[in-house]
Amino acid sequence: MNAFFAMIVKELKLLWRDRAGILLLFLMPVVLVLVITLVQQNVLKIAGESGARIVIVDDDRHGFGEDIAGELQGMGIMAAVVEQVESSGGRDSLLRRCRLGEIQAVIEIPTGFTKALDERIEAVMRAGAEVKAEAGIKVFFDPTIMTGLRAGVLGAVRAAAGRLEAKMTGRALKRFLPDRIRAALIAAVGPAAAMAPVTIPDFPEGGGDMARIEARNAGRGPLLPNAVQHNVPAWSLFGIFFIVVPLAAVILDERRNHTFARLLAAPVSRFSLVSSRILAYTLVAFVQFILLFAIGAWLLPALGTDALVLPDATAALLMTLLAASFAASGYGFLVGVLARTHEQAAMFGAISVVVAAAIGGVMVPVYAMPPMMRAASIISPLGWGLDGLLSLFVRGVGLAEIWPDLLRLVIFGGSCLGFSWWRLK
Amino acid sequence: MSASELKEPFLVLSGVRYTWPGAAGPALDGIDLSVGQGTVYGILGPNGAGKSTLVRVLSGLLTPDEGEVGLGGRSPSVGGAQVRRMIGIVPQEIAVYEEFTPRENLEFFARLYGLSGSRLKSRVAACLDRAGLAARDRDRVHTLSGGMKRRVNLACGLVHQPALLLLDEPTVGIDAHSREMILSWLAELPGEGTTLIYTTHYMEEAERLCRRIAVIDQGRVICEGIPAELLAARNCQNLGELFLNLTGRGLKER
Repeated sequence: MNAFFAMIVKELKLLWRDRAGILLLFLMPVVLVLVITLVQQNVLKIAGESGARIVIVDDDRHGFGEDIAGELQGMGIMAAVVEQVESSGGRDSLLRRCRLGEIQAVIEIPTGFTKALDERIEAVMRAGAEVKAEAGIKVFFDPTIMTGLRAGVLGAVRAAAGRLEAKMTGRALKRFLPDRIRAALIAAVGPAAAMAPVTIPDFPEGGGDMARIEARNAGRGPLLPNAVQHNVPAWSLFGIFFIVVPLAAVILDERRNHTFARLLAAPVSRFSLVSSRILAYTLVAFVQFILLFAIGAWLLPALGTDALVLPDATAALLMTLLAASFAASGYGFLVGVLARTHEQAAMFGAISVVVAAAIGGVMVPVYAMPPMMRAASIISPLGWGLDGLLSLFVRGVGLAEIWPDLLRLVIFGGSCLGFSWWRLK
Repeated sequence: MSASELKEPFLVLSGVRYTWPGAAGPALDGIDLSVGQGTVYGILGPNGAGKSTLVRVLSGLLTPDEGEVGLGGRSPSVGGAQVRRMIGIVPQEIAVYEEFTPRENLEFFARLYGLSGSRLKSRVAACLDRAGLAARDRDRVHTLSGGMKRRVNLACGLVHQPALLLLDEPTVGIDAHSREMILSWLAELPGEGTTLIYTTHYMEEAERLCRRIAVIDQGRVICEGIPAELLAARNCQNLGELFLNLTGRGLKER
């Protein structure tokens, strides 16, 4: 075992014996990935992906409730159609459950809704004048549900109503159009036209199916980004950057007890001293990522989420992990060099990583932040790393698109190391 | 300084000057020394006299602002791995990994100095045995007594059998048994060809170990020679009295 390898082994041994450090580097990201992915999975459900509970009370009983349920199912929202709630107590109970969040929405279709709609359309056809719509369907929402689900449910109701209206208009046209055409012919040609046969061919009653809408991502990634595909890379990066805490503690110890002087006096190059340490922590970063990948690929799906899919650009992924661990190691060096006590190193190291993660979009996507925070996110190394990883995992791009992020990480890590070395000298 | 003492000067300092960044005055202010091979050379002085700075310059950790340091004809700060391999350092602090065992510490530092295989094993075993740590070689350092830690500290500096061993107050704050063990070990080293630079403000240790001494104060050598000759020349009973005589201050004062 040569000196370089001995230094790598030394670093890994020190980390292995630092139980708190091991927990911080491995247990913390695992717990965060599990908890936050499962929580966000639920948030997505509440936001409309699946599992939101919608009850349709169809007093009209002409199939419109099923039409709305079909629209909702097309959006991935499950809805139960109740033909009629017999008593007002039953209706109150439904609304109370909605208010308490047991049901996300109650859609009420009043008795005679389709008949009234049909009559209105017929009146329009007959008179040729616009007839003002009366309030018909009522939608009650759980007060806490997100705007997305609210808009989705209303959209489904409007789509179903539009489809119904189109069907009824088509039927009305079929009934009224021959008389209108005949009247126009008489006016143009004379009374002889009164005997001319006017036949309107059948036309489809589909309504709303003609204009096809296809939703696709701009990148080459999967159509629907999910909590797993976002959280595993994001929290892996967070875990990688937390190497700052144990690394800073080791450097602080070496500075304080002069082991570092002993290392500097040894016949090994300064480059070896630094690079062996970076390599050791890069190995740790890869182990972290493999662990979290395993959780994303196997454990989380067993708990009901989607499975993590690795990007095709494997080389770009490896380079991103290398750049991120280099940046984290450099920052760990800097914290270790600047801190005077373990408390300072642990507090400053941990808090700065959490802040960088927050403004970098690990916790809340950058696009959802206010403009000031969005502007601040461009200075976060975790933001650069996350942008690179999400580009690979979600957008499905390659190295050609993410190299600026990697370059930023390398420059950041190199600057931290350079400044640290200058301070040590 | 007798001619025989400097027949083969192994370590030579000439006009060495060093000022710490931001300091008002120099820590080393023109140090001239010449140390023969296999000598125990004492550097005496009060706290802040410049002893630790001198040790750092000798170990190559600091490059002098002025002057030259020669070790076997080469400079520690620019002589590269070959010169560094000749030097062992024993800092004043317990400069070892507390989470490692004594054996792991010795193996690690031995590997840094290029030892491997059977030579590494034999040197580690010899050092553990000589330090009286063979029975505790697999206990982590943080579980050992202060004296044992000091012995691990010394063993780590000696494991690669350096030609020059730099000791910066190696016996600070330890029990009499460990002190005796360390001093008797150090006394054997010149016989193995190792040159010792020994900084201390324990005068009795200097009188017992050192064949030559230099008293430094405020970065300058104020007196240099064989202890007995220096005491006789100034009619002093011991080195503490000598220092008082030279500077008007006690050795441990500042």
